[in-house]
Amino acid sequence: MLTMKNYRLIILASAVFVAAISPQAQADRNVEDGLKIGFVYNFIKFVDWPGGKSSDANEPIIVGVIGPENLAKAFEAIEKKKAKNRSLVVRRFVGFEKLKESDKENDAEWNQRIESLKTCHVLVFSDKHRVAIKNLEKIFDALKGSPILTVGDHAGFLEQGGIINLLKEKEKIRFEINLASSIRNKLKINASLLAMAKRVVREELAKGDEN
Amino acid sequence: MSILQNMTIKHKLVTIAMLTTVATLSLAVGAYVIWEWIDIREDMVAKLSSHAAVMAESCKAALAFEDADYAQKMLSALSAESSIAYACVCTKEDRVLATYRRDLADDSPHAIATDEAGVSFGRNALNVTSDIVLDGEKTGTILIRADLSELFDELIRHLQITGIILAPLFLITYVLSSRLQKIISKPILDLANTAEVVSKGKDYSVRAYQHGNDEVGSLTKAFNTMLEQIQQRDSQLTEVNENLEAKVEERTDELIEANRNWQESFHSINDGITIHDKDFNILRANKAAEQILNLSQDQMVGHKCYEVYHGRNSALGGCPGCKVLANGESCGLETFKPHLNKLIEVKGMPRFDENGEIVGMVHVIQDITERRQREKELQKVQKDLVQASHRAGMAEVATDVLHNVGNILNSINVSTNYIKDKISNSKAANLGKVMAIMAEHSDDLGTFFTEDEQGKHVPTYLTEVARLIGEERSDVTEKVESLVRNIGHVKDIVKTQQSYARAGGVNVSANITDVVEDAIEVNTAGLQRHGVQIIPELDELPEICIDKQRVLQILVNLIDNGKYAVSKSENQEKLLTISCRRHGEDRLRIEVTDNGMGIAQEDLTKIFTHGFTTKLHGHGFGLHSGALAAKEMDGSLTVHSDGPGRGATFTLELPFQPREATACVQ
Repeated sequence: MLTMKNYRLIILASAVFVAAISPQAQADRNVEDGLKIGFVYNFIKFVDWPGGKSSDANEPIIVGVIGPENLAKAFEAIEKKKAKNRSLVVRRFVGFEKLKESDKENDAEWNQRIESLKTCHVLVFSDKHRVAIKNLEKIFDALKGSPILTVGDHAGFLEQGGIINLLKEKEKIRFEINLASSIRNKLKINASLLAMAKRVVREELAKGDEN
Repeated sequence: MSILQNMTIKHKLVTIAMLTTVATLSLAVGAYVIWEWIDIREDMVAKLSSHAAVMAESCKAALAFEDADYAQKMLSALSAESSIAYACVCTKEDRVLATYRRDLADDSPHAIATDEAGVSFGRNALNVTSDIVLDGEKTGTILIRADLSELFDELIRHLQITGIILAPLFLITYVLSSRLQKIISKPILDLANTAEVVSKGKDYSVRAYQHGNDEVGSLTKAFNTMLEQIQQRDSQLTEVNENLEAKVEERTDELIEANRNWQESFHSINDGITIHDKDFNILRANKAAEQILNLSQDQMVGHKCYEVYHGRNSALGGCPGCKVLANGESCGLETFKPHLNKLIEVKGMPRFDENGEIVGMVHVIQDITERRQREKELQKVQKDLVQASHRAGMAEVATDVLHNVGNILNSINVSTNYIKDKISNSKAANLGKVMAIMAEHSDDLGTFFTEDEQGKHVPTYLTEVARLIGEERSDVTEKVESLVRNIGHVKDIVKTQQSYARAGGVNVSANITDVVEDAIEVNTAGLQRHGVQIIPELDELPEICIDKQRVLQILVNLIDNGKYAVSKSENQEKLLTISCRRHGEDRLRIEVTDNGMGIAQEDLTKIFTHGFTTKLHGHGFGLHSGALAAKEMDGSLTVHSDGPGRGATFTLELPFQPREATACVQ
């Protein structure tokens, strides 16, 4: 598993490197973003939110993006679509990187930020922004129990507490699901989505288990 | 249907039974098979549809994330259903995401699911398409294709089994219908056979066997009854026919005979006959026509009459034949044919059909050359005869005249002798003696007369002589006057004879009474000799135009005959009544009636024929020529008698003016 993870990291790293140095890589990146956005959109269809939360058909499904601005911009494309017969709204959340330096002082701000995150149905975390693993775990801890589908795109996302992690395999985007996390967040994931997942984590993962 | 209709009843019945059975069973089987087929199909469709629905659900996510592997995996579950040969999942852009093939070697191209979701039957295949809907949105389609060959195989197996079951059934049906058809066909066939025997053999004594009392039985019964009637009628007919044949034969013979007679008559007629149609074609010609025209049948029959008769190429306008055809009036024509040296008389008569329409004409032709010759000769003979009779008549009249003249001469002779006797015995001779005596006494005449004895008687004597001479003179004068009269009579007779002789054959204007009187006069001597009393009853009539001499001849002859008849009669009173009366407007009748010997009935008809006579020395010419003469004068001479001993009346009837007399000599 380790070697696999490393290998994946190497690929990712090299991909990032390639992406950084070549305009072609930048273009590929945009394609990949598009695919990810499609995946996220489809996930909404295969996931059922609990009745209490924003089940009102008139309320939009809010997709929160924590990542680069261009990704958030790209995400705005899904606002034209509907899912579960509801409109989609994309919101970008910033400032979570800074939290790692002054955790304590910004408690109030943190809580405020977490509360704003809780308004979302879906939260997308982009790996490229290097959100601190601890911060992420902290966010997930804070969001624990909230019916929010968290989607990430980096290794260890599930272990950090995320529900669905997108990953690239042989030029194809695939995903893995942390079923335990989803149950914890009161989300029901369609069986076929689970069947399609590369990996389904069914038990509560020990923190830092794999690191 | 017409094939069926020409079959024998036996085959018909079997065929009908077989057809019915096969049709019903086939229909039942067909219906079963179709129902089964529909059922299987519906099952299949339902099965496939449920599979498609399940697959659509299963592949929803795979399609959403375009996970071909996962879709493939899902589809491979279909291998549990052996009939599914192929399945595919397509995106909504009709891109195939994943396929399933039962047979891996199957390399048929990917079928693209159509836009329309549903069921469609292809060749040996059933396609079920189902939309894949995610979140109320069609994201793709799934196509599942089932191979129907198994289905067909099953169907064929069904049919085979059915066939195996049906074959013996049909056989049984055939055997049964073949056996049972006899119940119906036998009586009909028997009837048909009987009918054939009857129709072929014309034997109406045959009867059909009646099998039962059903409809065919009734038919057979009716047929037999009919046969009986026909038999009866046939025998009657045969009888009638035989009679008819005999009659026809008889009639034919009669017709042949009639035709032969007609032909013979036609050809044996001396007159030539040609029969023509309306267009002048000669249809028939008899032998006499051949001889007269010196032409053969072929030269006449079928040729135009104007060719044959006139040697022309067309009908001469206004020819007699044309008139016959146009007016329907008969015509006649005499024509001399130089090439035949014959004078030919052609008579044309129209031929009419039963409606009175002219259909043609008949020519009757005669070679009149000889006839004309004979007629000429006859005319000459007749003329001679007339002359002879005239002469004979003249002779007869002359005889009578001479007879009369002789009588008168006799009378003259008597008168002359009387005169001679008177003169020779005349007392005048004694005068000489007296004169001589007186001469002797011339000197004393006075004395002599007074004295002389002798002388005294002289004056008395002279007175007596003078008286006697006076008597003689008156006697002689009387005789001489009679003599003169008789001579005048002779002269008259001669004159009359001369006048009749001269007037022969000429019509003159004359008083018929004179002629009758002349006729009586001519016969006076004979009449007187036989003591016949003439009773003339002559009316006053105007002068008429007659051949005086001929009439006189006839009348003289009639009076002579009457004289003869009364002379031979035993009647004391011999009467001859001669009457002359007007008869009608312009005719007269002279009747000479005697009370003589009469005429026997059988002689009345012969009396005018030449050579018939009852007189001892008669020549049988008088009445014959009289009758002829009367006829020539446009009159008639007839006789009537009540029988022998009852007298006779001859009647000469004459016109005042003969038809041919144009002028009368005054």
